[in-house]
Amino acid sequence: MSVAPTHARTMAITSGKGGVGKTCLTANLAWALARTGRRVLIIDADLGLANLDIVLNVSPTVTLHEVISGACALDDAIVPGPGGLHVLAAASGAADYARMTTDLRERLPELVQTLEGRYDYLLFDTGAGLSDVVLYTASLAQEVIIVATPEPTSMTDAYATIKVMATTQQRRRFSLIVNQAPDEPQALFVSNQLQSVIARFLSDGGRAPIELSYLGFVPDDPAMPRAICRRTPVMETAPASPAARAIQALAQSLETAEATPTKAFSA
Amino acid sequence: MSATPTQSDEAHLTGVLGVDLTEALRLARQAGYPDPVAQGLKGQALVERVLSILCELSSQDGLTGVANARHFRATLDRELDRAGRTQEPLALILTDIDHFKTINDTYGHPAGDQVLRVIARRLKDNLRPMDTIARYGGEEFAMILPNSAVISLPRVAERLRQCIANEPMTLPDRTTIQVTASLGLASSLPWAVLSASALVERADRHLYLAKSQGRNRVSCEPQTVPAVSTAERTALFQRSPTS
Repeated sequence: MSVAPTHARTMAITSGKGGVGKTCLTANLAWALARTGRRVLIIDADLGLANLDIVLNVSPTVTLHEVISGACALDDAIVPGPGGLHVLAAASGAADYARMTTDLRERLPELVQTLEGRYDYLLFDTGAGLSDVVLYTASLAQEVIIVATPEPTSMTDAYATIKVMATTQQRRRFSLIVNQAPDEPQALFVSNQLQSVIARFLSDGGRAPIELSYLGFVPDDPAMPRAICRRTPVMETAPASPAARAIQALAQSLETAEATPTKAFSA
Repeated sequence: MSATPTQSDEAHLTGVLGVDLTEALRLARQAGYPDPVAQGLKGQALVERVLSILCELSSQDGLTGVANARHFRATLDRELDRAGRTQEPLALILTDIDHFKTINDTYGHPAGDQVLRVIARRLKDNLRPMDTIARYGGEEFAMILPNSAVISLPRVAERLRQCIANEPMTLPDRTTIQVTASLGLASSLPWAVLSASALVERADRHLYLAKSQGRNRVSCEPQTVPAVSTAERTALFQRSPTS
């Protein structure tokens, strides 16, 4: 009698290094997916220094922290954002949640499970670095998208992220988006280098090889910082800009890419 | 007569609990418990004592006296839950006796049984009272170590390996043999909610590695977050001739 419940694709978007435009990219990707009629929720999983609400110009009165501590219901913390996407914001400067807590560990998997039944896409915008919280939230997602720029520090941190998740979480598949690339050859260079170092250093004989699939790149585009200042997705303010067109294409390739339901560890 | 259970005691028990008291007492004596009847217990006290012995027996491995697989499962679930709440690390070590089939085939099953008993005792002697040791499979033992410092675990596992390998054991026919075992170690992770089966799977993978790398050794998961090596860093920025 009942309609078969949907099961969201859950994706953790992570970068290792901060300042690579991860949150902004996540927000715009979510916007593009929501625009096609998909039900999209971004969960701000940068629990210590959350700023997704700033980027998307939403003002939640309660956040993920109150949900996790049991002070409010899940629905109260979800607010509509631009383009029909939904946002589950976190509080910025919440030192308690910058590290792993028992509440977080126990409640987050339940929340994710509940939300998986309600959305087509759950995007976790993780914090920078490789803290317990970042690794934990990534372990709850089916797919991990690495955001890197052509800067050597970003490439190194992207590789470190893949290495840690591959060795400690047995994750075998990753996707890559190269952000702020001057042109396509430089984006492909990032992808090729990462792929070859992974093949050379992270394969351990009999086990399945680690795959890094290149999803595409977003060019370095002044429209992006302009949109951030206006606290509106670039997809809205400058839909014809190179960055917006690239993000549109990325959303399309995400839609066609096969979902890989492989969580690292289940609750 | 007064020292034996009355007919009404037994009848009452059978009716209420479905326990055959005579059979239960036989099991208790066989397992080496002091005879509750000889101790002068009767009525309610006798019933309670017999039930407590039966409970203990149902969680034990009959041959070695350590916990059985069922008790191990229940303990691991409980300890994982506790570790998750208290943020204490929890380790699981799986041990498999090397070439156990050969021991059985060469010296006979009583010898194999003796080896299992000796190893169970040695492992138990080298663990803390709060740890749980269980016979997990035919020649496999599992040890749950709650609240153990992650950094010291490889040393603990190594000590357990040595307590088996470093001292020969004497079989019932007085033959002395050298037995070794392989150990796989996995510990709970601060960033993950672990299921018991996920932890067992990881320890089992390392047990397999210890076996395939030549036996009589310990295999552990890397204890620290792996850093990017200089070689990896160099390769990352090196332009190959084709790119």
